[in-house]
Amino acid sequence: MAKVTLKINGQEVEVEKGTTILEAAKQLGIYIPTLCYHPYLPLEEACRICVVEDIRGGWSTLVAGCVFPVRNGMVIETESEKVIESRRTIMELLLSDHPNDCMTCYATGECELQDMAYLYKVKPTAFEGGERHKYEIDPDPNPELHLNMNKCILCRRCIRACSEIQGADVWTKVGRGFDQRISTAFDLPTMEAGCELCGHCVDFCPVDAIGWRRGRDEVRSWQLKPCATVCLQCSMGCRAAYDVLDEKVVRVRGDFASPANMGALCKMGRFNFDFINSPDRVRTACLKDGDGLAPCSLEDGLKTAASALEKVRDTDGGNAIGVVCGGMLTNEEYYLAQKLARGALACNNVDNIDGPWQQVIYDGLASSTGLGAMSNTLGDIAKAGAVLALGADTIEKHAIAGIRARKASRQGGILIVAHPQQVPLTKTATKHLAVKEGSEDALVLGLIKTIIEEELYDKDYLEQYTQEFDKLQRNIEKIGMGELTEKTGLGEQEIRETAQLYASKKPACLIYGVDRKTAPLNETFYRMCAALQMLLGSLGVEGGGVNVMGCTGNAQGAIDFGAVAKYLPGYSPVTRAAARKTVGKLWGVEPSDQGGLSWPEMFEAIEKGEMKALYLIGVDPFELGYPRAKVEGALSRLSLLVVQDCVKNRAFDYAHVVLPSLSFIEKEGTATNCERRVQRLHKALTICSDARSDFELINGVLSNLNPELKAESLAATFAEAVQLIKELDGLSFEQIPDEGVQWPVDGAGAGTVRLGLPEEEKARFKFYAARL
Amino acid sequence: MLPDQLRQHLQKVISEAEYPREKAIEVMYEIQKHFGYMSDAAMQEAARLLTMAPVELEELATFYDFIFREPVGKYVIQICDSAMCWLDGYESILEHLCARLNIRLGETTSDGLFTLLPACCIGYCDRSPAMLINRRVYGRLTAEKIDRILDRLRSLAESVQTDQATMS
Repeated sequence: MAKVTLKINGQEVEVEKGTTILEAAKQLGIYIPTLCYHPYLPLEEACRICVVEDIRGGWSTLVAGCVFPVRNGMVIETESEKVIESRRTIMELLLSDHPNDCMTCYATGECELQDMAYLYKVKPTAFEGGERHKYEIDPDPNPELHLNMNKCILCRRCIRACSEIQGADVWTKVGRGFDQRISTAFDLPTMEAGCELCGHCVDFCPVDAIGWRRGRDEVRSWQLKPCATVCLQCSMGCRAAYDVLDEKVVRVRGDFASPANMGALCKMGRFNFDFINSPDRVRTACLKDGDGLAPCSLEDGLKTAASALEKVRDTDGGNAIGVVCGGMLTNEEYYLAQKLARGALACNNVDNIDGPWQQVIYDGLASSTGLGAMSNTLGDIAKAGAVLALGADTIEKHAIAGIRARKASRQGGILIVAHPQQVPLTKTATKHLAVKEGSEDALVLGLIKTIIEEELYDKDYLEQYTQEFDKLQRNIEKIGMGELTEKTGLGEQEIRETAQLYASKKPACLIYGVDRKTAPLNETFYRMCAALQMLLGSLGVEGGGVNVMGCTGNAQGAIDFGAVAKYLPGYSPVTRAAARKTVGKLWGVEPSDQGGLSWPEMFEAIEKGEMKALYLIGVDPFELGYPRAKVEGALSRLSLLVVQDCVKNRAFDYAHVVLPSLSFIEKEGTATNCERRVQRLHKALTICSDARSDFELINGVLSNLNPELKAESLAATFAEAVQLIKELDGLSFEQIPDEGVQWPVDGAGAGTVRLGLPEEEKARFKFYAARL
Repeated sequence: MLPDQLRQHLQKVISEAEYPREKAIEVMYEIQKHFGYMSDAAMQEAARLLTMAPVELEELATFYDFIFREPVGKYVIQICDSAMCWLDGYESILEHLCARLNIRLGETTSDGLFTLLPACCIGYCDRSPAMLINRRVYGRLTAEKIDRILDRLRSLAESVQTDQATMS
């Protein structure tokens, strides 16, 4: 890039051509005020508060610093009399049509307009008596947004945030001149105009025009203490800043520095925190007392849980005990839960609620691509030429992947959405396929069949990077299109056209989001997803890949750290003696050689009377998709039920021991998102009660059962687990940077952003035979 | 909602453009010519044809004085309210128009014949004060001239009506 030299306030600076004056000044540490500009949004040039003086020999002109590109030999003054005078006039004009009721305004203390008025000592009196807007206050029934357009300064950040980040296109500027205002298309209420409740517009509003409902008339900005941690409500692993007051979360903002979400949040992450503030939070341990529960000390709770589990183990055997973890635990907690089951309770009956889904993802992908998880990153989806979105309603369940897919389509890419219903993502889709629920496997086979028959595949790529293509080629002929159309509910022509469309623009990017409402597809499905991507030469490349996303917050970490019946930490099968021996050496106790049960199998075992005790960690068994009566029947058959949760759930009615835990924003540890990113959690909220993190609670039970197995600290537990997980080779807890590390990690602590093409002499991507 | 012939015509116009959005104004004009104004339904339809988000088209439509988002009269009078016309008697011209038509700026006469709207500078500063009626320019306006124009348009509309009545 060509370099340009210029002078700002007498200081010389050399910058790249195309840099704006604002960016050049930033390099010199010179502050230029901004309002409409935001580093994470496209440039707009609306407010002109950033004016600077461009001195050209004997004369000078005022230019907008945020957009004006530098020129060689430019002489810029950012604080000259002319500049200050202009900024003051701009501020006076803005304040002339602003309510200026800072005393009762929610934004006071964090309002950018207020800060600017303070900086330039501008009072709202310069144009007193002029015309003012009198818009209705809070005219919109939106459940989360409070609108007061009288405060709007028309910076248009909301429009850009809505369109560029979320892609929802709710906001626009309507009319012109003094009549210009921010509104929706046809002035519809925001929800009817397609608001997806991502809250980006509130986050970006410099004033309180589009404001928060949460905390309004209750808190002042300076009372709030922000702390960033990772949201574990879905598998995206977004980092979010929680604004807390005392023991309550007031609101949540996106963290722009986080590579997973880049400042974006979904409606769950942004607004679903009532469970943390819930009056039903569990604050003490409880023991069964007659028909109800009686509070007890935490120590008694842990001791009773341990001795009761011990009793079942010693009388009925370890296989009579099951441990089921929820989806919002940390890696260290999952590790400790499986250590408890395998090391102290003599069973392999340990699972997490995403286990049955997550396990087949690993089995399918590891065998065909060598990497048993999402191959690329969430950011990569936006770089795709064509996106095929399968599985759950992406915007709802895997929001970051959804908005990246939208971005790809806005940049001219093809977006194909296969979902039984019209979902938010179909709005921007090139093609919507109304497939029958759970028939994605047949759809993928249909696409593969078409691509092979019509020779749309990348021959050179197959030759160079893959093996055993002939196996698939021979085998796919035996599968009739009729079967596939019947299962998917689509016409043959539609499948063929989709395949042609999907193959027409590279790189092709497949995303599949797990929805626990539909039964897990088998490992062949994931092999076929990989096969489809290989055929299109789009596996192992930027913007392509097979991107499978789990359902719960730390589904990836749960399986990585062994909270699943089939695998020990690091994906070593429990059935392999050598693997058990390695673990035995580390723990001093060797895991049982009997295969464990997944949680659906545990429920069957309970019904058969084979399983007597269940330890639920952050799981509401009534939310697992079983009929109510079935769950009630199973829970009442148990001779021991230990329930550990942060909020009271319906299983408490059947519990013998209740242990009070903390929500994910109240604990330290690590979690792994769907793109294999291991991130540190930070304690954003402190609750004064007996509640402890699941780590401390499981550790309490564990040390009562066998003090030898007790964990010393989070870092020590992480280090112990890493010894078993080759994907995290040599990674240390303290070393994990803010942006996280994506596994596989090499010995030096460097991560892997995406699956690369197989090097020569290394194992190639592998095709498998198709099966329906 | 569009008649087939119009839809096909618009699809052809759009297909000739490198980027469909280039034709946004043209498409809106054509639809407006047919319906008299752009209803919400028409906006949705236009956005679909142009593969634009309705909200993007709305921004354009509300910015541009010649796209009507509400029903207008048979004759749309757009009176220039920019600097030159203002200096040359815009206010008295407007007052006269309002009195003659018995409406305020932004309204339509009860017979549906005239709509009175403000317009930004139309480039007839040398013949100010000026106005447009159905996009035809009338300059050097005086009260008398306005009376003549309005009378002529009114009788024209009446004769068309009578013609139609006799024909049916």
